[in-house]
Amino acid sequence: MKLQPSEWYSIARRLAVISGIFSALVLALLAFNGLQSLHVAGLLTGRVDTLKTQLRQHPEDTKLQDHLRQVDVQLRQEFFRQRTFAQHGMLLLIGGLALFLLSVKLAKQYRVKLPRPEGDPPDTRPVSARGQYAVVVAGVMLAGVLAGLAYVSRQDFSPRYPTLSAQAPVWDEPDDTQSSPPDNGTAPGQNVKASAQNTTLPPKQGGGPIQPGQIPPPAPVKFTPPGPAELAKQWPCFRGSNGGGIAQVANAPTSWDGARGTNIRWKTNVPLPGESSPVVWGDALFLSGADEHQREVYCFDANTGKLRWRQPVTDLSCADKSPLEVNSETGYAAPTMVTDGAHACAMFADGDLACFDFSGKRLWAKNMGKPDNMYGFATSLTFFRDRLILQFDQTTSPDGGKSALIALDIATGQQIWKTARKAPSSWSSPIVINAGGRAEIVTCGNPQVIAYNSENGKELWRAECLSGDVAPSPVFAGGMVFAVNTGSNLAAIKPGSGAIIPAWTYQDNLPDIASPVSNGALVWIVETYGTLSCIDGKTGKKVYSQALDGEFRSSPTLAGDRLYLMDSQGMMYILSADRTYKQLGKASLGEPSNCSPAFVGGRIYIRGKHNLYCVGK
Amino acid sequence: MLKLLAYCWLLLPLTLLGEDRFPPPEFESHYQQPITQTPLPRAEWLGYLDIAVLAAALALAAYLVLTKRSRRGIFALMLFSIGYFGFFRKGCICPVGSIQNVALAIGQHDYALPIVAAAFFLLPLATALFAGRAFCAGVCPLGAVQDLVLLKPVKAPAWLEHALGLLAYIYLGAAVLFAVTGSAFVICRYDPFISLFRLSGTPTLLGITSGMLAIGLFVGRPYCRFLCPYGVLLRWLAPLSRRRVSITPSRCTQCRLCEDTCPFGAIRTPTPVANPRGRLAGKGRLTLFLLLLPVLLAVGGTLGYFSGGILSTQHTAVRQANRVLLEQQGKVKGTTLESDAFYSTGQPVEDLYRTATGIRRQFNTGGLLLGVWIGLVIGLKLVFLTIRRRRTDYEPDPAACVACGRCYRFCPEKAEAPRVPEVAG
Repeated sequence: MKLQPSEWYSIARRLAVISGIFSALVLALLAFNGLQSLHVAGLLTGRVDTLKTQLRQHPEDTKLQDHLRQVDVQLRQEFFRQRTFAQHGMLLLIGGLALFLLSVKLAKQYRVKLPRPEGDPPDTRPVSARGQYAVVVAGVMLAGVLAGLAYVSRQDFSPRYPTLSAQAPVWDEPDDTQSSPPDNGTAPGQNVKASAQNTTLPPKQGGGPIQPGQIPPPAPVKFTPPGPAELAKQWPCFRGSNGGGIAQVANAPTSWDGARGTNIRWKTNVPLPGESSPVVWGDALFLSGADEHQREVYCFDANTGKLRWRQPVTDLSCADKSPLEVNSETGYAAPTMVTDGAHACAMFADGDLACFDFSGKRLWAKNMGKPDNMYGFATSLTFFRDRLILQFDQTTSPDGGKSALIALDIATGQQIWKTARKAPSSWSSPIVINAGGRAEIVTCGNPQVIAYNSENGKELWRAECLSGDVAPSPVFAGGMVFAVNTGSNLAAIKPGSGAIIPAWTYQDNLPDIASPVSNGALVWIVETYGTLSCIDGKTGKKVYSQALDGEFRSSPTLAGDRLYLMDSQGMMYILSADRTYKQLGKASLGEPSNCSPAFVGGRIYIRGKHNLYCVGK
Repeated sequence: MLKLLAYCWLLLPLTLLGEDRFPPPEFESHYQQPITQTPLPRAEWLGYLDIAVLAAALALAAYLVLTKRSRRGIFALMLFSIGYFGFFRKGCICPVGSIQNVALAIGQHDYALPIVAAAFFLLPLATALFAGRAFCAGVCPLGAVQDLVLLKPVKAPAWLEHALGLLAYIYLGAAVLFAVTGSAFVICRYDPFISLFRLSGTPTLLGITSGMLAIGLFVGRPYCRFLCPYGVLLRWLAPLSRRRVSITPSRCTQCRLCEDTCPFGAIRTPTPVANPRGRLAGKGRLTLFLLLLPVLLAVGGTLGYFSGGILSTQHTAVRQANRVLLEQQGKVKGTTLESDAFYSTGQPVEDLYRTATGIRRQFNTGGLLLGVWIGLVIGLKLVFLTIRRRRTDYEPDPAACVACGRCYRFCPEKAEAPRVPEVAG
């Protein structure tokens, strides 16, 4: 049956009316749903907020917790109901509108109004003239808009950025008797940028010891944290700028003899013992030392080994007056210091935390509370930008309630954030990684590797792969975080998600003290009793393992194509950082050491049991 | 009914209320967070498929417009384009946005122009050189959507069209400036139909979409005529094409039946015989506008140069630097996402200031060029409006005609039968 045009028109018209009404209804329902959802969500959100407030006041109230959960679930269900409704509604609406438009078009096809031109053809000349006037008016309006933009630009959107000369360092020079000018690298305090307008400088004073009970007020110093390029030249914290034991040098010494003084630039006695490793910035080398009765921070001249200053940290009081018990191997000064070019901070086994400037002036100090740690606190400090990061894991139970990750303002010691950790004591040190542009603080503990947002301390991801007393620190190489502890795994974790690479686990000869090192392609671990293992960084398969003589507590370092590995008697193994085991040399310090060396320029700084050594020219 | 529906469009943004992303619980719920999955990139061969589909659609459009002269065929092609380039490809990549890829590749040497983007940029332009704006006829999903919703065309006064037509040139200049400096792809950011093709978008974007569609019910292809930056390029090239759209398949009898059939104001009428006085006045005006041209360039360039500061805030680094500076000076409290993002890089603030200063210089130069461009467009528009072109027939303006084929059916003339050559002897 063939339909007549009038019948087609009738059908199309009816279809248009039906689909139009349908579309309008769907649209109205969608709008109503949106408004209703806002109303309901507002009500529920208000209840959730009220319950949260109540819960903060009564955190143990389980009924309140259950109620909060129920309301939260209702809120979420309402959200997803509304979203599903909106998605389905939008599809129906588009279908209805498309049908409406097509049917209207069809109807118009069968009811065409034939044109009936009347009068004379239009004269286009006056139109052109009017068009010119319109263009002129539009041009004037555009000029007005541009002039407005130009005015606003000059007023509000073209601020003058401070130039480098305007932010030149204005820092009190260290006392001549305690400091010598640097011959290379960065001068102490060089990257402290302070403008005359907004900076209050600390008063000039010598490096004399602070009287007990006299804690100087925080100095409001405007400080620009060093950038990655600057950090890479220094050795600002445990295992270098990235905390991964990667030295940005290619000319590190390969032979020396500490006992004979061969290739030793200088050797200096360290007044108090400690397992902390040296940190270096420019020509300033910092070290901490402590015994049962005293705690001290030292600054040595990295060029000469001369002790520039030593400052006691003995005046801080702790509420817990019980005697501090530490393992003799750990000692009282195991945490490695940290320096950012302007500040040098030290942590001790009794929870004392102190920060000095490069002239030896104590900027601030506080006791963080006596660590509840059965072997003694040994976690090293790290920093990110203007923040000092402290992983403060304590007690023998994850539910001990004392463990936390803490960020302090490095200039003032003010707490910026503190995030509680469900973790028992650990001896691993945190690292700060650049995970796709995001700065993550990665920590190891039992049983998890947890990453935190460096800005607010919020947890970003976690990966459960560790167990026992965790001492090795994580490393970040080739886009992966590697974490290890004896009795569990060497695991490869994808930062950002915390996803453990399933096929990538290694379980033989795992270390319990020394941290791993990796160049991304290969990962090296050394267990305390001397088995060195090399694992493929991509697959987790063993490349080789080699038994070495000696015990290893110092963490290995990669310098160019060489791997430096020191045993506890001070014997440095220098190996080829390759897929085959190849010993390039051995060098003796001449005394025991459990510290990790610092590689800066063409020198290696090593702390022995009694002395501090500078290897190289 | 139509008016009611037009107003109903404006309710669309309300449907998105409450679409905000839901935050994770703030308490321990024992829910195991799934591992974040990164979607795989689109297979490379699908990009080549897009190029092939575009080329085929352009060829078909040219055939339907020039040879077949079929409005139905063009309409069917429009529906296909809305389906494939619109809803299936979600409006990306499209030739309109590809301008920015090309500009970015010119401005930033570390950006490699994808083959697909280059092909999408060049193919419609090449087609325009041979077959006019066949791309606009039925291949561009943006134009097709507007063509589909046009129900009750209202003829805009020609003088208004001339004035509004300037906007597309300014939009093109601004889009190129922002793309060259690596600041933003504004054409994509403010694509008025992307939220339709993706069935999602911010309430603002959905408002723009519904507003544009509501206007499109009565004003033919408002985006194509007054805003489309790619349309500017096609306007330049289409008049150069050898084969063009013609209203009549044979010869114009000046029956005037087609006079009001174009909802886009693209049909030009025969010009009356010019009188000598008018010609003299026209010459005077032409001289004036030609003399005014350098002034317009200078004024535009100067104003554009000094607008560089505000224009540069489209660049993330400049926004970050301005914010960080305010924070460092203590003029604002707290931090923003952008300043936090910078701080998290650990870079010295001097580096940021240095970068921002360099970008601001680029914008001062770019603003100057943009101002010169705007002055040039206004000046040349005035000049072109002064020049009289002699027309004896009703014919489409090759620059403005989007080759929709609406005028074909109103021409009473039929195509002439091909002549059979006489055989001698």
